Amino acid sequence: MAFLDNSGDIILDAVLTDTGRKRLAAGDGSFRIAKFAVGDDEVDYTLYRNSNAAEGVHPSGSAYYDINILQTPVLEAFTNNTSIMNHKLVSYVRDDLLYLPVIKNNDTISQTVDKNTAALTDIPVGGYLVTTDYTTSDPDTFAASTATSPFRTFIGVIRGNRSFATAGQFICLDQGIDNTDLSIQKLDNADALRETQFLVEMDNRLGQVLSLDGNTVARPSFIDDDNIASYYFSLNSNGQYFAAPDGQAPGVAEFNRSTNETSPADTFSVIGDTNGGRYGTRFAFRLLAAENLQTSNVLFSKLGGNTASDYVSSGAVFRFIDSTIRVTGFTTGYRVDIPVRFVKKI
Amino acid sequence: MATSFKTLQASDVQASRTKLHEAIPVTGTIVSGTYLVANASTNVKNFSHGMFQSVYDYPFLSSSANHIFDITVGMSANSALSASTNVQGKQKLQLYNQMAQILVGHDATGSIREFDRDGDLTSGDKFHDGIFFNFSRLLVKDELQKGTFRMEFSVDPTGTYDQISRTNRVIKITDTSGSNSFKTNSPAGEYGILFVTSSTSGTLNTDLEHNQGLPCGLLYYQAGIAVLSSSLFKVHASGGLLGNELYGWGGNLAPNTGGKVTMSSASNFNIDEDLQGNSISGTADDLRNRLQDIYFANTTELNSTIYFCRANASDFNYSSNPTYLSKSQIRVKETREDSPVSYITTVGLYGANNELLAVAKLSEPLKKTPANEFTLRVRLDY
Repeated sequence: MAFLDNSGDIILDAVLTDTGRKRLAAGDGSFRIAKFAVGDDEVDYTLYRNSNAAEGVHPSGSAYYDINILQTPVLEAFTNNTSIMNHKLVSYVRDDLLYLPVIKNNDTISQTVDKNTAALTDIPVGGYLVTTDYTTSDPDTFAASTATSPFRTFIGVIRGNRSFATAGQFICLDQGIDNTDLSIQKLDNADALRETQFLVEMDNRLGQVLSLDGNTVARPSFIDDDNIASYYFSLNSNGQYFAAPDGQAPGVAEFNRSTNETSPADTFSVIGDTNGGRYGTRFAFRLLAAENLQTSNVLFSKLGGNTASDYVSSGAVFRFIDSTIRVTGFTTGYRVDIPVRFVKKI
Repeated sequence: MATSFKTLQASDVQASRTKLHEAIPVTGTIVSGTYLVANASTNVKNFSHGMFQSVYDYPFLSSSANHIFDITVGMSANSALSASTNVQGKQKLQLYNQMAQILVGHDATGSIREFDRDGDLTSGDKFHDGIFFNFSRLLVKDELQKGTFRMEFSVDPTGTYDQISRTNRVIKITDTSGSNSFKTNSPAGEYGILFVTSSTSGTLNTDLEHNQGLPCGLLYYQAGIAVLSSSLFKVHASGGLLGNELYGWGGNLAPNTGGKVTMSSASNFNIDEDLQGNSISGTADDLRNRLQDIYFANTTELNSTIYFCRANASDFNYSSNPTYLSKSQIRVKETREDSPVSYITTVGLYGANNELLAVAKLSEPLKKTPANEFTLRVRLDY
């Protein structure tokens, strides 16, 4: 897309998204605009030159702090609904907030593949390998592989086959204020900075969201024209996806301030450190590989490829597809993308 | 409670309808094809069925070519020419009936009506022969704007296609009365009467009956079809609209042709002979080469829904942009007391289940603080 002409009056370039056109064409009344949000996808706030800026405060004074931001050229609208409105603006009642919450992948509770002791190449750094079929999910398959292989250490491997679903890693996210200037506290239940609703988006052709006990396959709220499924989880109605004391997610450590006053930090938290941080909620889920990936190789040929031999010291070659699991705090708007690689042993 | 969505109230959504007009000038060089390099592919397309000829703005084999209009001719069974027409006679009859059926309709007995000179179908003169210009939907859009149509033809009698002959004795066909006087008794919608005038004295048969000129055809606004009478190319003595004297009837011009307006010097056909003895595409060639230019304005009826997205003072002052924070601290604030600042570049319109249905981009970032409010007016056209 080109940049919009910003030489004159401010103009607004409006288009229907591909999903909007699909809903309109359906003619079933599903095209009904009910709400709006505003975003700032193009804006890089590191250009804001106050005293927090790496470049230092702008020499011409506060009127020039945002001069570079205001000159940012804006792209024409993308029509792909998942490619735009990545970062929404958020409304809080209070104007005196200095800290806002973030969401971080908890690679302490559920270690990512790069946490293996051996140096591995061609892996989704900060993410997971997701096994797709029974053979690849079965630990016995790799019993003879190198001891440091993720398929032996079980670090960073989500077992996507239903038979082994509860045995492998899962995706766990900590939400809260990741700043050590603040003392360690659990955000109050009524605190606006505490996230209680999460949106998970993933390619529906590749997999689905599974509850931590492995018993419930979550139902997407909708699947768009590009096969991106959106799942909504709220603390009130989906407590099994939230760690205690907020929810009842089985097998996920509680997310709370320790009762040990000399060491109050949550042992597994990735929010803050041993001295500071405000804990919000801990959200976790498993992944179930799509049936199509288990029984067919078509999508692997179309969207992925084959690994090198002896992939991650496993002694095997795999078919793979790289994808991303996107998790967004529904009210606070913060978003993280977790890289995953769906693998199937050849 | 934090929120990144704001519900649109009923009062935030307004429907509107506007008419958009575009000027469409079509120059004679495009129509005649002379703007193209000799021997290059042509912008005029003939079909093996020979029922009509299409004019494009560029060689039609190119993917960037746009269809402008089609030309065809037809004659009714009541035409004096039809009995003796020996080239594509059936096709010309079929075309007249097809066009008449769609544009004029049927009478009480189910018979196809003929094109009427003044639009009064109950009586009056009929156009038994018709020259049809069917403009493409790409240009016409929803309809031709009434009162804007103009078409200029050369009625030079020699039939040569040189520059001088083309610009000699030009007649102008307009729907001048269309904006305030049009007919509604067609099954194809509204239509106006086309009138012919000329700035060259004597080119037309009589002094103008009135300012609008002489009726010479019909213009169907919604259908985007101009129907011209063949009388445009005939002198009055032959039942046409052109002046007798200028064309050799009592004058000293073109005496050898005896009032004949030769459509093509190669064939030496006048319009009647052309309709009888020439193929449809051959007649279309002759007509195209006499065309000076065409101009009209089209109309697009835009049905719009306007969403007033109101960002009040307390709304959208923070961002979830990852660069907004450094270790969870807001970059744009140095102290807790500083006002939050955010910059709007995009407005997303969502369905009830949070599907992004439409999106609007601002041409430059808009600074949002608790000290200001915006109403962003997002218009979706259908």
